[in-house]
Amino acid sequence: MTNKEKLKLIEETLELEADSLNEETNLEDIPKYDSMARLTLIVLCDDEFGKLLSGEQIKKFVKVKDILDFMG
Amino acid sequence: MKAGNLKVKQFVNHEFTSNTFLLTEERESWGWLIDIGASDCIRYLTGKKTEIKGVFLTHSHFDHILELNSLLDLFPDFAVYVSESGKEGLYSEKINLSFYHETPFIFKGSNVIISGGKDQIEITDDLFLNVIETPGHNPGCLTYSAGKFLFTGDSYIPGKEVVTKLKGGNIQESKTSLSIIRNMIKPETLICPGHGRIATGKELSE
Repeated sequence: MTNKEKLKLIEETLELEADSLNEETNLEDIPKYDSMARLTLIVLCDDEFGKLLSGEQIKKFVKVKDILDFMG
Repeated sequence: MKAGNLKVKQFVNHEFTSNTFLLTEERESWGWLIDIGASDCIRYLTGKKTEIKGVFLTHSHFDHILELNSLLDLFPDFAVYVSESGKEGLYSEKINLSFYHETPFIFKGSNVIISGGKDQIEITDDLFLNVIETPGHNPGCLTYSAGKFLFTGDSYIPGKEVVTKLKGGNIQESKTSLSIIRNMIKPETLICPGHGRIATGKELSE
């Protein structure tokens, strides 16, 4: 999966507008990036990429790129 | 809180803020529960003579079911009422999301009754609890009405947007469900949501 496809997946998962994210977007700047949003991303990483992301790990992520890198 | 012959006590899970409601009568000889995520409710029931007859689940996300097994220790025969889709969450730590919170939870009991729209369950003499299907937050979400009380789970939390981002969530279904719920609310209705305080229909219309 390309980074563009992963970005699209994240946007859909977080119910954001298409093309609203890029690798350098700060997670803090994403509207409603709360515990529920983090939980949806944790589930996404498991479902789509088979990777288990812990709550502690995701809290340390700063940019969208950190999620993309984790997805691999 | 009391309305007619029905008394409702609220308990809160302090970590996840999810509500558990005990439906009972003045002397608390019997009781039904709406969700069971709050350990304070288990503590309250321990040593009391209240006979819990069953639990009505609004949906099976972990924060609403976490204490089901503790309840089983106290009342081995109680029945769990849940939607067909919600039943899957009782037996899957990934579907109920507890897996992702490092506290995996799976229900040990088997007395599960599938509940769906328009079902009516008599909770005491001539007082029925009505089941309304309100998918959106989750495909298996149910809302319950009993007397003046309306238990909306996470399908409607006054002042909050419905969360539809989680797996199985559907924003369009949520809008339809919200419309159904709002149509049921009268000024005297007591809305008991899945999180937050009990609100009256009157205050919501102001």
